[in-house]
Amino acid sequence: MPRVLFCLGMMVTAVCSAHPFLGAELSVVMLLWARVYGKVPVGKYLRMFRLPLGFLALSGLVLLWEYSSVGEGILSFSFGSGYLSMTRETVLRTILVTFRALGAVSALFALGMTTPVTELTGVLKRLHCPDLICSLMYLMYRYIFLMYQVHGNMKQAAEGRMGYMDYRTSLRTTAGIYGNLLAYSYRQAGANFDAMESRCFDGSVRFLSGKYRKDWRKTVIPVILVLLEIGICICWRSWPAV
Amino acid sequence: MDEILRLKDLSFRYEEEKEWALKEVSLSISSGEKIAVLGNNGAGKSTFFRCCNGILRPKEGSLYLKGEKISWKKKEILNLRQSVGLIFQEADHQLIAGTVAEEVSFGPMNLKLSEQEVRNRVEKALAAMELLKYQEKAPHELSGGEKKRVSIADILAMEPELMLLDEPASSLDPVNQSLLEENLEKLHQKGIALVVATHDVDFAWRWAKRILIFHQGRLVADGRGEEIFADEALIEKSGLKKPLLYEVGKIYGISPLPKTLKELLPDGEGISSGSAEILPAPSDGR
Repeated sequence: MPRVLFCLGMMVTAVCSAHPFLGAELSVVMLLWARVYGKVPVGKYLRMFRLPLGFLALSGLVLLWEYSSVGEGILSFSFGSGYLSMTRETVLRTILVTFRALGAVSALFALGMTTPVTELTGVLKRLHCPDLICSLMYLMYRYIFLMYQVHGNMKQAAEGRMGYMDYRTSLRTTAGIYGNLLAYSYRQAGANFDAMESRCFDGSVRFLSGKYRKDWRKTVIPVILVLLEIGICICWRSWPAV
Repeated sequence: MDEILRLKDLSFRYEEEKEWALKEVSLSISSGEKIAVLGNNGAGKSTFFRCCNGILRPKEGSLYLKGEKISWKKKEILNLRQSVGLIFQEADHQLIAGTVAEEVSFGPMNLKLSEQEVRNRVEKALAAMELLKYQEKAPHELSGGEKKRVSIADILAMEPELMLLDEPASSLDPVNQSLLEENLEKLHQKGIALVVATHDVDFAWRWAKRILIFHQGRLVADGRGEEIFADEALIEKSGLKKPLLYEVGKIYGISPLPKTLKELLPDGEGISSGSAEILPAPSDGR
C-alpha cells in the first residue's frame, strides 16, 4: 500500500507541476527509486521505457502545432483553408505538457516495474474495486505475457521456414500467425479455465499475498520524497508565458 | 480400504458430438490405491479424469464421493474437487500466478481457509515437492520438470484424498521422470490414492497395483498387471505393448514376474556382460 500511495502522490505532483524541471527531475528520481528499492536493472528499465517515451515524443510533435486562419509564429504553412503554425506559446506549452506527462508516466512506470500485479489488485480490492474487474485485470495481464511468448515462438518457427523472405510472404505469414494466435488463445483460455475450476475457482482470482517485513525506510523515505517534490513544485511555479 | 470415489454407468458426450467420449463406466477407487490408466489417444482417459473431478458433468450415470451420491449442487461439486485433485497434462494450463508460492496458494484460497492455514499448506506442499527455493520465482521461468512439480504442489496444498494425474511424464526428460516417480511414492506414503494416465506400459507394470484400460470411451479392463498383460486379444485391441520386464519374466519363466531390474537381478549385480549367466534358461526352449 505505501508504495502505491507513494507513486500516486508522485504522479499527482507531476500533473500539478508548473515547471518542466519538476517532470524531468521526477523521472530521474523514479528511475533511481526503481533501481534501489525495486532492484530493477537500469538498462532494462530504460529499454522498456522507450515505448512510453516514443508515445510522448509523438504526442509532443502534435502539440507543437495549432490551426489558425492566419499564418504566424516561428513556423507556419498553409493547410486546407488555414495555416498550421508553431508559435512561441505552443513550443512552451508542449515542453511543459510533455515534461508533466513524463513525470506522471515515470511514476506509473516505476510502480508497474516494482510491484507484482497481485499486490496491485490486492490494493484495488482493499479500495473496494469490484472483484470481477480485479480478476479480469489480473488475467489480462497474465495473458499478455503468455501470448507474447507464443507469438515469439510462432514467429521464430516461421522465420526458420523463410516466412519473411519478401514483403508478400511476410504479410501472409503475419496474417497466419495472428489467426493462429487467436485460435490458440481461445483454446488456452478454455484449458486454463478448466484447470482453475478444478481447483474450486468461484469467479474471483485470489492468491496469498507475500509476507513483507516491516521496514520503516520503505515508508519514511517515500513520504520525504513526496514532500520534497511538493516543495520543488511550490518553488518552481513560474514558467514563461504559460 | 475406504472407498473414495465410485462411478456407476457413467457416460459423457461432448456437445455436438455423436460418439460417446465415455460410455457406461463403472468402477470404484479406494484410499491408498496406485492405479495406472492405459489406452491410446482419444480412448477417453482425459474425459474420465475431468468427470471424476467434476469439471465435466456426466450425461448419464452417477458419481459417488465416499458413498454419497453427487447431485451436482455447488457445495457438493466444490467438495468433490477438493477431495479429488486433477493434475493436467500440460502444466502451463494450470499455472496462472506470478510466483510459485502464489500459484500454490490459489486452491487453498478458493477453499476460503484462514490466511495462516493457507500459508501452512503452501509451505508444506512446496517442501514436499522440494520447491521452497523457487517460491518467489515466476512459474513460467521454470523448467518442464519443475513446472510439473509446481502443478502437483498446487493440488497437494488442497489436501486431496485422491489425485488424478493426466500423463504426468509426457515431455519430461529421464531424470525428471525418475524424480516424478519418487514424488509419486512420497504421495503414496502420505496415504493419497493415485490414478495416473500414461502411455508408458513399463511404468504402469512397475508402479501400479491396478491397471485400467480404456478403448473408444469404454473401460475394457480393470485388474492387476499380470491379468491385463496376459490377455493377448485385449492388448492388441487396445493398441498397447507388453512391458519389457513382463516379457523377459515370461520368457525365462520367472515367478513372480519381475517388476523392476532389482527383482530380475536380486543380487544387485546390475546389467553387465555376465548378468545373463544368473538368469535361468528360457522356459520356451529359446
